[in-house]
Amino acid sequence: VKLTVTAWEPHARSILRIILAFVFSLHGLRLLYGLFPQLARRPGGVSVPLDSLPQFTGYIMLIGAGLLFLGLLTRPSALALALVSLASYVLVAAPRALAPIRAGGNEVLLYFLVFMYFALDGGGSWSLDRLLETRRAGRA
Amino acid sequence: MLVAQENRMKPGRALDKVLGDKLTGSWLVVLRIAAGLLFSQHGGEKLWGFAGGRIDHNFPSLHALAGPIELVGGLLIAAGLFTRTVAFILCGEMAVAYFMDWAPKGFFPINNGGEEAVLFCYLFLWLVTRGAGPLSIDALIHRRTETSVQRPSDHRTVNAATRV
Repeated sequence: VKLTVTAWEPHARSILRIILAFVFSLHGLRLLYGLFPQLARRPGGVSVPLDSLPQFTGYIMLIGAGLLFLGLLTRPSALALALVSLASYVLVAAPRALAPIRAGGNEVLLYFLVFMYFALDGGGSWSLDRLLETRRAGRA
Repeated sequence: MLVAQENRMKPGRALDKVLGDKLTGSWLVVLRIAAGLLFSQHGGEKLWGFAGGRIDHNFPSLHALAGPIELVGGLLIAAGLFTRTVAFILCGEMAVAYFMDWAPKGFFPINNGGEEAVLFCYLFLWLVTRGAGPLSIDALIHRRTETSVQRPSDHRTVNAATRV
């Protein structure tokens, strides 16, 4: 069982990458165009720190998340998004409260950790990077 | 010369060589421990009002039962004990939480407040396939079985040989 499950790791990593990039890109759209209003939140919850960043970071979020969604230039775009997430935690969430859950910093810390992992170890099997690589290898 | 050409063709591979598996492995440790602790905050909040959160001791209810599951599950993930099993359970828990609590309140995760549930759900799904990685109790246990079980036909040897 363990062998079978482990064989799925690159696919599961791609699923994680695609979902996170999609949700992250929504924050970019929210910052740039004011789409996706917050309709509900946990009791005592505060806004996601990404929404309080200066507006130009919205372009980084949107372009980076788009690239990450496709799996194109996975590592550099994951690094850029990780840095944006870390910046939003340090600048916005950390001054609010010490505990990340109270500061609303859980989401951005998770984004930071996972995107940094993608930057270090790549984005898994289902990506344009991988597709281009195998095509180029086949031509050579 | 040949190596340099190969590296220029695949920037990811070149980066791999610079960073090595070591940095990736240590980042996985950071990721697992931090994510486990972040998750267990939710359990602490429901059980004793961690950091001024809302306590829920209304025990037959699913929301209250989630408290101990989240606290213990998050700590087990952080410690790296039974990582795959625990991650599978928590992944399911987050899926239930998302569709019961958040999905009715809006379509997109950033509308309905369920963003964190989505992140944890897919993170745990990945951890099921990834396993605990280095510096975990799982890795300790597997190292022990690997040295004590020598018969190659034994299924435990096969398990220990796979990536933890």
